[in-house]
Amino acid sequence: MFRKHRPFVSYVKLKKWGRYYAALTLLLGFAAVNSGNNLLYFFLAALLSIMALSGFISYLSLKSIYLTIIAPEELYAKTINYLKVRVKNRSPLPLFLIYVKKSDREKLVFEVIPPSGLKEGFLPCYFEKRGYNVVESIFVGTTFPLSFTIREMFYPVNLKLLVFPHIYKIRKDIMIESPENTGWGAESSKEGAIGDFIGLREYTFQDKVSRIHWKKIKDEKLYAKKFQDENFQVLNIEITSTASEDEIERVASLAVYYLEQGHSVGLKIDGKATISPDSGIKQKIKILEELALLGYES
Amino acid sequence: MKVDKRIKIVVYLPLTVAMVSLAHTLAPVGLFFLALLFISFYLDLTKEFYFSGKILTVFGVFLTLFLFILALRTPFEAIAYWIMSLSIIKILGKKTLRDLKQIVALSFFNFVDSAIFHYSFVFLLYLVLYIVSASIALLIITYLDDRRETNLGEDLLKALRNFGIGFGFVTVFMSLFFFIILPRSPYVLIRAQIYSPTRREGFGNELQIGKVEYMNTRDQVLMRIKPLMKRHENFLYVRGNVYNVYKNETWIRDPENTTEWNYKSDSKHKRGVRSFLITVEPMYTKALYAPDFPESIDFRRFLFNKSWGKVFLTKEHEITRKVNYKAFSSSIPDSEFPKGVDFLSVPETYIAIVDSLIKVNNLYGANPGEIAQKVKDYFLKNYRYSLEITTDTNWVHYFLKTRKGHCEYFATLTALILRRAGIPSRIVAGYLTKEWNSFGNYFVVRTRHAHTWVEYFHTNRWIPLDPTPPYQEEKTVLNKLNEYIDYLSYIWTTQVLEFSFTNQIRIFNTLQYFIKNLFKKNLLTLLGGAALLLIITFGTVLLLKQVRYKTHPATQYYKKFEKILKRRGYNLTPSMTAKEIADLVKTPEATDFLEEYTKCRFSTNCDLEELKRKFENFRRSIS
Repeated sequence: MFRKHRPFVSYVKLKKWGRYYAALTLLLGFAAVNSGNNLLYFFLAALLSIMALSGFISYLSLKSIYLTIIAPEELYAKTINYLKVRVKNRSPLPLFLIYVKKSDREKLVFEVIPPSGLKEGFLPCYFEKRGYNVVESIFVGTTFPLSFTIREMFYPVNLKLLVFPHIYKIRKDIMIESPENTGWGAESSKEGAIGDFIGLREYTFQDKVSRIHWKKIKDEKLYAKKFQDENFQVLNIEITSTASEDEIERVASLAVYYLEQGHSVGLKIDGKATISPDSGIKQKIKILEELALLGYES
Repeated sequence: MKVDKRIKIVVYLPLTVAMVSLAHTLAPVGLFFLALLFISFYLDLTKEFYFSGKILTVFGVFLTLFLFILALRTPFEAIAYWIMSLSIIKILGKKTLRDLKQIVALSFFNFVDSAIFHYSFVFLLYLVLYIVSASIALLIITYLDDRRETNLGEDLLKALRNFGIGFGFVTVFMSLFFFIILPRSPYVLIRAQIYSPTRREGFGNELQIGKVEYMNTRDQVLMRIKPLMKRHENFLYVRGNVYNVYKNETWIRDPENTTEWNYKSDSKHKRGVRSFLITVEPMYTKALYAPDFPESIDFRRFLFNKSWGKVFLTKEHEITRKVNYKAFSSSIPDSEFPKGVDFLSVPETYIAIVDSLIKVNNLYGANPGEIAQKVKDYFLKNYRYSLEITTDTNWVHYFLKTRKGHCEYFATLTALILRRAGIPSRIVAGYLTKEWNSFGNYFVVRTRHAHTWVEYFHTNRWIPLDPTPPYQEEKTVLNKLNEYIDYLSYIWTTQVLEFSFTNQIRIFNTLQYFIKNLFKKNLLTLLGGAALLLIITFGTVLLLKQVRYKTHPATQYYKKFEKILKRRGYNLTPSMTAKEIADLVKTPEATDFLEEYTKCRFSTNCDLEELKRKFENFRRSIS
C-alpha cells in the first residue's frame, strides 16, 4: 500500500479546442485594442476570466485529491494487472472527470467524486518484465472544467513492486511433458472422488447426492463419505539459474497449474531443493517470488 | 448517436442569448432572424425535422454570396446577418457532438457582433446571461467529449448545471477586475466604419422659419451635462449654431462661429469660467456642444494627445459613438463686434409689421437693455408657447393672430424687433434643458429640448435673451424611476463605454492616495477596520461551521447525557457505543434513554418527546 499527499509538479497542456479558444481570445484582444470598443474589452475580460478560472478550478481539483494506491498481492508480467486506486475529495465541491494514469494506455477515470467523498477504481497496469518493477510516477489529471486544457499533476511514487513471471494457460490435453510422477501410492490427506474410503464428514450442498451416507442419519443431519484423492501428486520442479525467460515462464505456469489442481509442488534450482513441496496459496507465492527473482541479483 | 434533447436545450441557450442581444441592436432585420431561430428550435426539438447536410451547405453558400452582394448598410452588418444565418442552418441539420461544439462557437461570434453594435447598459445583462449559459454548455460538452457520448445522466446534468451557474457568476465578477486592468492602446491601427447613421441630430446650416412639417418631440437623450462647479440655475442653455442673416424666411448659419470652433487652450483658467463634463450620445454630427459661451474643450480621448486646441470635426471625427469631454464656458464674455455681417438687416416684407408692433405696444426704451427687456416682457405676458404646426403659409400672420407658437417664431420676431430698434442681434439654435437628474447631478438634454433664442450686442458683449414663454413639462409617476434608469445609463457610459487609460490611471492614483492616507492619518481607522474584518470573518466561519455540521436534535440530549455521566466520574471514551455505555452505567433509566436515542438517531421514526421524557427520567434517577 502506498500513500502520497503532495504532488511534485503540475503542468498544463493545450487541447485542440483550447488552441482555438486562445486564438479567438487573441483576435478579440486585437479587435478591442484596435477599435477601442469597451464592450469588446468587456467580452475579452470575460474570456480571460474563464481561462483563469478554469485553470484555477482544475488546479484546486487536483490539489484537493488524497490518493491511495493499493497494489494486489500478485502481479504478473505481460498481463494486465489492476492496482486499486482510492481517491478522496477533500474539497467542499464535487470533483469531475479526474483521471489517474500510469501511461496513456494505463488510465482510470472518475466521473464524479462527491464533496468530501471517496471513490475507488482499478488502474490497469502492464509490466513487461518479471522481478522488481518500479512505478516511478503516477499522473493525476483532469480536463475539467472546460476541455480546453489538460492539467496533470505528477506524483513521484517510486512504488517498488515484485512482478511474477508471465503465466500461460495450460490445458490438460496439450500437456506433453508430464513431470516425473513420484506420488503413486503416497499417503494423501487430500480428499478425492474415487480413492479409498477414509471416513465421514458433514454433508454440504456442494457435495453430490450420491455421496450421502444414508445409513447414518442422526439429529436430522446428513453425512457424506470421504474418499482419498488418487490423483494427488508431490512434484518437484527443477530449473537452472541460467534458464531463459521462456523456461522460467513455463516452469511458473506449471507450478501454478499444479498448485491450483491441489497438488504439492516444490522447486529445485540448480539441483538444490530451494522450496520443499507443499500446496496452497502461500506455496504458490513462494515459488513465484523465487522464480520472479531468478537470475537477478537480489 | 442521437443527441439528448436536454443537452440540445443547454447548448442552444447561449446561442439564443447571443442572438437576442444582436437582434436587440439590429432590429427589425435582426428580429426576423430571431424568429427564424425560434422556428428552427421548434422543428428540431419537437418535430425532430432535419435538412440534409448537402442542401444546407448549398443554401449557406448562396446566402453568404447574397448577403455580401447586398452588403446591407455596412459590411459589419452583413457579417452579423451571415453569422446569424449560419447558426440557424446549423440548428436545422442533424446533430453530432462536433455540431454541438460548432453551435457554441457560433454563439461566440454572434455575441462578438452584439458587442460591436451595442450601446445600451442592457448589454451587461446579456453578458451575464451569456457567460452563465455558455459555461454550462461548455461544461457539458467537456463531459460529452471525454466520454465520446451524446447523453448524460439526470444527476450528472444537475450537478454540472449547478457547477456551471457558480462558475459563470464568478467569471462575471472576475471580468470586472480584468476589464479595469486590461491595457488600452490609444492607437487605432485599422479604422473600420462600423456604424451607420441611422439617425442624425443637431442643426443644419439653414434654419427655415414657418416651414416646419413636424415637431421633434422625441425623448431621445442626446447628451448629459454635469456641472463640475456649483450651479445655481435650474436650467441650462446649450449652444449649437449661430445664425446671423435672415433672408427669404430662412436664417443662415455663421460659418465662423459654430461647429468649427477655435478654442483657446488657456481659457479654462480664466476668471468666471465654469467647467462641465459632457457625455454625448452618438448623434452623427460633427459638432461638440457646450453650455453658454464655450471657451475651450478638453477632448483628450487619449493620454498622449495632449492638446486638441482646435476642435475640428471632420468626417472621421463625426460623433459615431458615445464620447466624453470637458467643456469650459463663460456666462457672458467680452467679444469684438464681427465685421462684414449686417446684424441690422430686416427683410422688407417684415418692416411694416415689426414697426407697427413696436408702435402699438410701445416697445421703446432708453438703452438696448431696456428695449430687450420690454420685448421679452411683451411676449411673456401676451403670448403662450405652443407646438402646434400651422398650415398658414404666412407664419407671422398666424403667430400674431393666435398669439401662440414655438420658440423659432418668438426668437425671429424678437430679433427683427431689436434690429428695427437699431440693436445688432442674431439667433442661436441649441438646447434648453430643465431636466435635472438628482441621482447623478447632471442635466439631461433630449431631442425635444431643442430651442432657439436671441443674442443682442451691447457694451462689447453678446447678451442672450429668451423671449419664449416657459412651458410646463409633464410629470409622471414614473419620473423618479426614469431618472434612476437614466442615471444607470450615465454610469454605463462614463464608467464602461468611455472607460479609458486615463480612467485607469485615475483609479490607481485614487487607490494609492487612499492607501497612503490610510497609513499616515487613519491608523486607528485601519486597525478598527482590520479588527472588524477579522470579527466578520471569524463569525462567518463559525456560522458556516454551524450550518455545515448541523447536529441531529437527538444528539443534543445525548451530549447532555454524556456530560452528566462525566461529571459523575464515569470514564467515557469517544469510541464507546451506546450499548457499552449502558453496560457501564447499569441503570434501567440510562438503558431506556440509550435505546430510545439509538432508535431516534438511526431510524426514520423519531419521537423527540419520548426521548426528552426518558432523558428527564435518567436525570432524576442519577441525581
